[in-house]
Amino acid sequence: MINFSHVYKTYTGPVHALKNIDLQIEKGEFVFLTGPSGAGKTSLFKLISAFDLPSSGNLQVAGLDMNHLKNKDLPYFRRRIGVVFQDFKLLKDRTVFENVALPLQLRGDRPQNLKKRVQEVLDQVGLLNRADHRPDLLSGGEQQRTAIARAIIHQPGILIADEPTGNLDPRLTEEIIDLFERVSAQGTTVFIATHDHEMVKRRNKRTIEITDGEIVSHGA
Amino acid sequence: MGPNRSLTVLTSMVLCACYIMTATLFLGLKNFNSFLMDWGKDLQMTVYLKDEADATALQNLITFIKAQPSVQEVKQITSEENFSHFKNQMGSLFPQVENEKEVQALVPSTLQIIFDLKNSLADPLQIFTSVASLIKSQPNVDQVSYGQLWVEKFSKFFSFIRQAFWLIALILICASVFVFSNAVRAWVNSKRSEIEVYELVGATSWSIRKPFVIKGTFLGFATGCVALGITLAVIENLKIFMAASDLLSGMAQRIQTFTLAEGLAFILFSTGLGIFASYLCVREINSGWAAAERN
Repeated sequence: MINFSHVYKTYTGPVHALKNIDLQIEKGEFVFLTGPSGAGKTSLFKLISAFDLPSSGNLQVAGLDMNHLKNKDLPYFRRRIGVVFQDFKLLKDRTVFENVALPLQLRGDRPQNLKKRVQEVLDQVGLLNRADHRPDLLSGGEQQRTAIARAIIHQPGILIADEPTGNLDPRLTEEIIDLFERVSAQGTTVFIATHDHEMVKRRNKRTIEITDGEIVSHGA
Repeated sequence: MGPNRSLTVLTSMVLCACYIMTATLFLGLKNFNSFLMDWGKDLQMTVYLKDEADATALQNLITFIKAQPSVQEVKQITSEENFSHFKNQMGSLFPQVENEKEVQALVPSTLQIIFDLKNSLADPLQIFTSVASLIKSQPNVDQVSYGQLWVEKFSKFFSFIRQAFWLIALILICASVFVFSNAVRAWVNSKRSEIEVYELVGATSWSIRKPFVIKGTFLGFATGCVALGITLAVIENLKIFMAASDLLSGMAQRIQTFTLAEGLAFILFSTGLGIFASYLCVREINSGWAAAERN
């Protein structure tokens, strides 16, 4: 599903954000990515979500060669993945329902199907009673669940989450990770970046460790 | 009022000013041509006919000439009328000849063509030379004359004024595009986080650009309408003011404003400029990598 082969990412400076990354993640796997701040977790995720391109090496995501992905194909690729960020990236002037419905609207789904699917997903993340609220009126956990609902509404093959629990307390963190596990159980590849080692230990999932742009442990 | 709205208001004002100046220049050029035609001598062309031209051939020639652009009227003047006119002009200087009919036979019949270039922005020299060469190629036409020297001088002056108009209009259009571009860039930057979210969930470039292009289109349309309205109001008031003056009342009646087609073309142009400028700017900024560029 995700295949890195000798991937390097260098920013102007030069700053070597990623060095010789070799990594394979299979379909339906649940994987944690850990490492200190500045280790290269976000750079790795930006490559997977096509928000950046590798400087060298080969990267394949969902069967697509990212080095040869054309600009016009970007939106269609992004519809095949789901992305969750630490800062939620919700539209503040839209309701929870509208935020979650956005990927389906852009895909051109019929309003009736859209409404049904949004309600299903909001129910799944426990936010059905908050559908008409704007993000500002929600707690951090609820905002993150809205972001997750938006990321999974179109049933992506891959769900990546960059520090999704970074702004949440331990109870909400567990709640969110439980939600990711439920999504994974439905066959979606889930790849989560975090620096919460305690939580990672408790979950007992494959854990990849990255330090200074290099993978130091590929996990079990 | 937020900074974005203030910018939109300011942009609208500057665009209005640019469009008012362009509209005023256009009307200035249109009226300049009209006044120049009125003040100058009539723009006429004389076609000297061959002796053998019969009535049917002559009628065909008149129909052909009338079909030419900017031709207002075609008058047939017989050799007798021409001779009589010549005699009257010469007055006492005309020698008393015994056989006047023999002299008259030397004077040809002519066609007098009157042009109407008041509403034309084309070069009169170009119109005259092209019509003259077309008429010259017709059978039964001996010679074509139209006061070439005066027309050439007029044409040079007209050409200078027209070039000046286009230069100033071009500067104003460039200024408008620049102002538009800045406004669109500001709109896009203020919505950058929103664009990132849209990109994130797989919005196509066009679905991201569309709202900005619509906004640019509306701004172009609205400022074009307002500018046209202001220009027309100023011209109408100017006409009223001139009509009240003894010296300028005649001129007031001849002032021309926009025709319906010109007005519509003006609004279409300002709208088109809005679409063009906003599309170009959004296209440059939103490449599908907004989020990558920021982080």
